[in-house]
Amino acid sequence: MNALRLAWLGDTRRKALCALIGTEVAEWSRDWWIRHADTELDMHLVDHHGFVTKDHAPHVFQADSGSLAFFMGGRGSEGLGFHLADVANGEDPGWARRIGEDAMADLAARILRRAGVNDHPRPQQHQASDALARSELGSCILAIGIGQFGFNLALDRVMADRLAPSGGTVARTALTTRHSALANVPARVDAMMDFGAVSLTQLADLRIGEILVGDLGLEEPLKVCIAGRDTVARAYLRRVGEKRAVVLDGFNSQEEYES
Amino acid sequence: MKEVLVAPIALNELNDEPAVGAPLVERNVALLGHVTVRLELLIGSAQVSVERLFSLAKGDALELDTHLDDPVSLLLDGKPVARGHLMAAGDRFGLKITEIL
Repeated sequence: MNALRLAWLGDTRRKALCALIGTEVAEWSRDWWIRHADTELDMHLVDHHGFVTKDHAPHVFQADSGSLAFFMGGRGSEGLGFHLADVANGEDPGWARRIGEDAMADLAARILRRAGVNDHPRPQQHQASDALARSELGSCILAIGIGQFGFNLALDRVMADRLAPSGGTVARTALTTRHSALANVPARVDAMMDFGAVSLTQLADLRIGEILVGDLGLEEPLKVCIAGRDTVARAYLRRVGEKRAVVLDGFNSQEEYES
Repeated sequence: MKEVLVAPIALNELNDEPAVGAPLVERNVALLGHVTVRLELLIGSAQVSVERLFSLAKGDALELDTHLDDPVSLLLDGKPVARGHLMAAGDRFGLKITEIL
C-alpha cells in the first residue's frame, strides 16, 4: 500500500510559490506571447480544487523529484497556441497545438530548473494523481492568466518543497540517543528481605506485639530490587547516621534477572 | 475370565453457559490453612538515576529513605499486610508486629 503523507501547505509557502511561479511565468510570457504585457498577467492561488477531477486530460510532467500539471480546460494546448500567436481560433489547429505544447513544455522546464530538477520529463495526458489534486496531500494550484487566456497549474508537495523549502518553523533540536536520555531518569530501588514462608493459619493468627522470626541471618545479605520487582543485587544492611543504608555486595547476572 | 468391552472414551462437549447458583467452596481461609505463602520485608527505598544505577559497584552504599526506628512493611505477594519493628531474634532478623488488619 502506498502511504501518502497528510501535509497541507501553509499560506506563507503557498504565497511564496505563487510569487516564484509568477516570476517564471512573466519571463516565459515575454518569450512566447506576441502581445505580452506585464499588466495583462494574473497569478493567484486556487483554494477550490474541484475542477481538477473534472479535467480528465491535464498535461502532467512527472519527474522523480516531483510533478506538475497544466489544466487547460476545454481549450487544450491549441487554445494556448492560438492565444500566444495572437491568431483567431479556426486557423489550422495542428500548428497551434504544437506551439501550445512547446510553450507548455518550456514553462514546465523553467519551473523544473528552478526546482533544481535536471531531467526533462515529457508531458503525458492523464487524470491527475491525488498528490496533484488534493490540498490535504500538499498540492498547490495556481490560476495563471495571460490576457484573456487562463489555465491552472498544479504542483505536488514534493515539487512545492523543492521550490519553496519549509522554513523550519518548528525549532529542531538535535536528537539524542534513548540510552543517553535515560541517564537522569529516576529509578526506585528497594531493599527487600526474603522473610521466609508461613502457613496461612500462622498468618491469620498474627497479632500486634507478636514477633515473627525470619529465615535470614543477621549477617546475610538483603536483595536489591528495581521498583519492587527484578532483583539486581545483594546488599548488607547498614546505617548512615540515623538512616538505614545498604552496602552492595554482588550483582545478579542477566540470566538471573530473566529467570 | 470375564470379558470387558474396551472402547475409546467419548467426553461430553463442555457447556459454555455461565454457572449459576452459590459457590461450591465457601470463602473460608481456614480451608487453606496448610497452604504456605512467602513473605518479604520492605526495609526501605532509594531514588537513583539510571546512570547511577548502572554505575553502581560492589562496596557502594545506598542511603535508604527510612530511619532506623521506622517500621518496615511485611509484604504478601508484594502487598503490605502488616508493619512492625525490625528486631534481632537470636542470630536472625525478626519482626515485632505493630500494625495489622
